[in-house]
Amino acid sequence: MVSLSEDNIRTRKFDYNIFKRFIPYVSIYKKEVFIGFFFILLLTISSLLLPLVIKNIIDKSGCLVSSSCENIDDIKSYIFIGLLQYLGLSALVSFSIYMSDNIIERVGEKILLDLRRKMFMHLQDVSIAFMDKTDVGRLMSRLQGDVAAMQEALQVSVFAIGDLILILGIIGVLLSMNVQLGILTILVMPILVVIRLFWLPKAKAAFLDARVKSSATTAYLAENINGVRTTQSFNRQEYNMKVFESKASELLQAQLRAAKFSSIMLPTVETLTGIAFAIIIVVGASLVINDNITAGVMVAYMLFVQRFFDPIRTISMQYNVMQRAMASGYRIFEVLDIPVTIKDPVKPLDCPLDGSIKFKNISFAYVDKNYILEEFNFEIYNGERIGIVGPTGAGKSTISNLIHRFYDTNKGEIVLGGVEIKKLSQEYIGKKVGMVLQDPFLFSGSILENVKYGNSNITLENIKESVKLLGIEEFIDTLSEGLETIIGQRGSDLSMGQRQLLSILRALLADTQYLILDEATSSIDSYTEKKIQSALDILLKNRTSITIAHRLATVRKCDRIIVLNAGKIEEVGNHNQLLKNNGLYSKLYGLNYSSFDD
Amino acid sequence: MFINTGILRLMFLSIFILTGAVLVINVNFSLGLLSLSFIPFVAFISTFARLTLRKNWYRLQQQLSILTRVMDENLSGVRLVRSFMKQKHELEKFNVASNIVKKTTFEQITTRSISISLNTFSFLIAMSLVVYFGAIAVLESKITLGELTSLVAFMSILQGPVRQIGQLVNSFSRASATSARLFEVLDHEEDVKNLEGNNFNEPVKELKVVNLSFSYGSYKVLDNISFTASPDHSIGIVGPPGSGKTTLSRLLPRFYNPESGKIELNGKDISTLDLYDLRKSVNLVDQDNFLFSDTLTENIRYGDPKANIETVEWSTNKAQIYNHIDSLPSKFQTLIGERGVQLSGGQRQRLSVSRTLLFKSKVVIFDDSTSAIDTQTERKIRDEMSSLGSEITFIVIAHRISSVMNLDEILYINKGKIIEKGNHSELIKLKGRYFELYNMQINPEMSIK
Repeated sequence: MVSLSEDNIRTRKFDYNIFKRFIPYVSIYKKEVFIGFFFILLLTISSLLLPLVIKNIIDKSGCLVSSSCENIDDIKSYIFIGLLQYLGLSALVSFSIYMSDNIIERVGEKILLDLRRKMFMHLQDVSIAFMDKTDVGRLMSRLQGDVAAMQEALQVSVFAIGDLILILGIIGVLLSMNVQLGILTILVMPILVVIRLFWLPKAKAAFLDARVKSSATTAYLAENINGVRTTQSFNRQEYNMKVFESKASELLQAQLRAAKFSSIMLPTVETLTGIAFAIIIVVGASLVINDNITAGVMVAYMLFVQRFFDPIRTISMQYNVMQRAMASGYRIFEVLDIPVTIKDPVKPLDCPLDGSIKFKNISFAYVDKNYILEEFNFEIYNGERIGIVGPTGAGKSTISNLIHRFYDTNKGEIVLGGVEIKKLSQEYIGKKVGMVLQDPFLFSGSILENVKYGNSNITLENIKESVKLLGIEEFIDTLSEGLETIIGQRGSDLSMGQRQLLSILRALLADTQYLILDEATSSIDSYTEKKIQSALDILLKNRTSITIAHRLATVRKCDRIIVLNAGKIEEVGNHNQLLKNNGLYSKLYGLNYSSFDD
Repeated sequence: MFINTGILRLMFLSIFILTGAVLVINVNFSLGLLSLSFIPFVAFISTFARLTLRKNWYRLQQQLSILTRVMDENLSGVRLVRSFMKQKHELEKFNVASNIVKKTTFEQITTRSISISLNTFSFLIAMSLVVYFGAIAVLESKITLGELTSLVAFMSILQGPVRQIGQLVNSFSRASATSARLFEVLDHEEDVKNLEGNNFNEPVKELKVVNLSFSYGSYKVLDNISFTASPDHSIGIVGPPGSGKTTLSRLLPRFYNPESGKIELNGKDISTLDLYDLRKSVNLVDQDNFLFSDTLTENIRYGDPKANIETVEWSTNKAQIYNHIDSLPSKFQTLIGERGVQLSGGQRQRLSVSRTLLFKSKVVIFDDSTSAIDTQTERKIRDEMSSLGSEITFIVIAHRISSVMNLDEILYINKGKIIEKGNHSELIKLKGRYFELYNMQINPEMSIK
């Protein structure tokens, strides 16, 4: 059985396989990427040309110095053409910035959303077995943080290619204008590379440390917000505050260290730029005096040198972002690779079902050979009301899991209404088999939306009828806006019993041929349960139903009750037969402890 | 990240521009002004962009939280989704939320790239004008070539910062949108205020609830509830869902303040007592027994982290969970949650009972917190608790008659009102709602019509 790898691995070496798998997501936007790249190229070239135009203008205007002026008016018109060239290039630069930025960032965002949608879609089909043992928080961090890291990497790499071209272009132009000054100026560049070589590993460690501490602090905070009532009950506020403060101060230290590293870089670059500037002025000026270069060339050098170090910084940062993206990519594809173990048949049947359920020699284990059900045989007839009772671990809920094909059996087959369930689509099973689950999950939103979840076409009248039939109008009336009341996240403002009532209503409105009630009334008081039971007498009349409970009273009215113990059927019969049977059922019943321990 | 580098950057930039301005204006007044002419434009564009971005950041945060909720609920409620096979519907919800986020993000991108592009453009125009008029001035010998060079050099140094302004503006607006949300939380006024200083460390002789009422909106959840509990007089509470039982259980440790009426400990109104002392005295074993992702030991001694291991073992023994823990491979060091052990409902409930036992409160409220424990074990747990000394006051909210039938007084609550009260045999004689409930559970043969 697959499970996800640890989440605390923040970086990963370059892995061609991950890179390769990412390509299809980018190639959907081939056209946009090419257009964006075209504009980056355009931006790079026009940025290289701008200083050269200035050089020409200055050289022309400097003719007085070298007393090579011919016709002042000719020069003026030449300078005017230079102005027009410059303005044209400026417009091109600005437009290219807008286009490349906009296109590349949008593509990045689209790829992020695609990846997230793909993961989300995949998770809809992944087996319940996987979902049961995987924490939602871990999946969420993959759907959010990891996807964002990939997006960042993509954007940075496209811009880095532009930067690389820019830096090569600058070197080329500098050398072609004057080899001597060019080499001297470029020599400053390796200094930065060397400094960064020393700086990077330490800075990387500091950044990583800050990220790890930040997520630890966030996790602690999140859990304590969820458990705030427990915290207040046990007066742990001060203690937790101390724990939090120590985590927060560790985080602060880590962040400060990281900030120190990142703030070292800017002055370094500025100093180096200053040095390069000084070289240009001192060496360049003497070259100008000796007529080796023109004043315009010197100005062009000054302009170029300003663009010199930015690309180096982004390119070396790129490595960092890439490593992080590799780790994230690994985690993303891990989710996408979770095999879908329960698949629909190629040609699913959609014939009407006859209302029966047959369990033929079922053996099932959640892990290895730890069988929960062994050689389980049972037949349920159309319209029957079956109860299943038994202690925890007896396999009660497993039966409902298997009927809905949340899990596949290890051995044997389940025949639903005459058809083996593997021949039906899961969607078809969902339409035929309604379930009230142990955990009465509600979505945030209105009560109405929640109860209509299984049948969105149902009318308000029908809903009100069912509310009446179940005898829960009183409860609905106590809500401030009745059915329109908005409930908070996961129905947290309702009590467990109220959530169960709504979840029963929801299943009934779905109006399915089969209905499974898995501990559907465990948190409802007996009086309300009684009312619901009599409503169920009517509602279950034309359905095949299975009621799973540990309270004996819940299943008392069933046509047949299965007493399940350690995966085996201990007794079967209706209430009276079981009482006469003098088995486990009658023993428990006689003890007044009319329930199994959960 | 904005706070640590952004502000410094901004200060550095302003000082740099100011000193530079003095220098270039000294060189040539009109050309100097021209070389600075882009600054107002950049300032205007950036301010406009900042305001738009900030507004959108705020909106985006909210839209993102909706998207997060859709994903989170889908994954947490996976069984429900699958049982109705509503994957398509869920995907639709996801797409709607995701597209809203996309739209806002695209707006952000456009605003940002327009502002960066316009900033660069206004800088380049200023540069071209300086070079053009500068070159003409050189030709006409109004300034020297050196002076023009220094003007261009000054502007070339400004080139980098102008490009950074775009990023700076973006992180600045993000920071201010975030801090707006932050202050919303910080400014939230506490409903339950702690009056420190009124210590309360005495044994609880009596807990008295007097005319207590509480409403959610216009609906009265509790209506004039009164009762008295003491170590010799334990209280049981039964009633249908929504009758107000849970609300009552949360008013006693003062998680909320009552709308009217009061709760007294030894004659002192609990709203005047120090909250810490109150909650040390009155402990609630909640329906939703929250356990932290930590070891069993840390969870059990949650209320007293300094408790030694013997005490932890002792309390698990009393809560009838010791044997189970002892059978686990890592015993008390077993982790709960994510990658730890899966506990059944009954085991979780016993754990939270042992957590409460270790906390040694004088008043213990069980809010349907033993529903998954069989009746025999439940009684054993409470007997063990009582034998710790008779000074504990019990208030037990339950659905099972057998959980409350041995208590001194039982209240039947319906729609926020006490409609029956008395001990078990009195209530049976009354032949009212309690009697019906009893019959349904103990003697299901007799059904009500």
